[in-house]
Amino acid sequence: MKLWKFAAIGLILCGAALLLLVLKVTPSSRAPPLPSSSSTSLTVSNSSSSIEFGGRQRRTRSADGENSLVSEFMEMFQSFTEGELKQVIGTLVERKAHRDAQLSKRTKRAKKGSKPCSLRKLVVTVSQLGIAFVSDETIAFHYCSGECDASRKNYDFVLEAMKKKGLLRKNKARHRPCCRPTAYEEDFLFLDNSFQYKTIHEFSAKACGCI
Amino acid sequence: SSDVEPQMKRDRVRQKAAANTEKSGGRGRGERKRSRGRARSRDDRVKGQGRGCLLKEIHLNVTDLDLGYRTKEELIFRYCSGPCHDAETNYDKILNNLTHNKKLDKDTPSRTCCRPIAFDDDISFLDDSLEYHTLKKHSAKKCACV
Repeated sequence: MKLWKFAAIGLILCGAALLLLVLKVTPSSRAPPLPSSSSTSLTVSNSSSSIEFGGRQRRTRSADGENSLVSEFMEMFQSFTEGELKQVIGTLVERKAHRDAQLSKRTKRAKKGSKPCSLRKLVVTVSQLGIAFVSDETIAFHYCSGECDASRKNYDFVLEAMKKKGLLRKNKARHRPCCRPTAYEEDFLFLDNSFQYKTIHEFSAKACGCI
Repeated sequence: SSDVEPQMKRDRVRQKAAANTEKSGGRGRGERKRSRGRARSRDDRVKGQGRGCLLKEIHLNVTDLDLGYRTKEELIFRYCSGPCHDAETNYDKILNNLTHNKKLDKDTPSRTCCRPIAFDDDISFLDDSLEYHTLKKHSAKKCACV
């Protein structure tokens, strides 16, 4: 029965080892387990006494044989497993780094290709508008933001050239179109914290344009 | 001093015309506020301080435009320049506050701008190889804080 068990285990380990051998190509991983197993057997033989030596000799023979085989395969398995684990982890780390790099590239691209002039929305309280009104009512503030380079005209190119040549007294004239509101929403009526009605004029954009 | 007076007169006439145009346009309150701003700038100009968003002009050679033409023709280039502090609306104040408080995620909306709201008529000229070219929207005609 025991023999059968060991034989089965041995066969399974042999199968696993064969699979690993087929999968792996590195021969250096084989070398390490062999010397350690031989050193183990030497230690065992030295430690035993004469009388017990005889009795243990019999046991140790069979035990050594089986143990040595088992230990060999176990060590081989462990060494392979460790190697594999290291490689797998390394691969995963590399992949992650690569993905991060790609993400950063995407982010950069997104930033570079910023959106054109358009109407955008921000929900804030009236107090957060910072125009001397105190109220906890929330309000949807629409504003204009984005690029207007596609709307440049000859005027802008000429002005830029003039500025570069220093032909203008002050170089403060703007040579790019502005993303600005072309229409404002209707007046906003709200109740402030002292329960009085207030109105805000021209506070939020309704439409945007490059002017 | 004698040169300054006719320029001022011209500018007054222009601004009056502009104001009339705006009124006829009838856009709304924004325009009214803007016209007020201009009135101020007019007064400032009379005093000689020359503040505000104004139409300025400069005499140029067409080659100075860096548009790739070769010709000896000349032209008058008009452009808009000047601050727009007095023309800020509630919208602009709110925008400044929100920007200051970093409520806008990475957005940098542009503030009031001194920009042309009308352009001079197209100009045609003859280049050195005897070909006619036409320039469109090359020079400002009216300015405003938008």
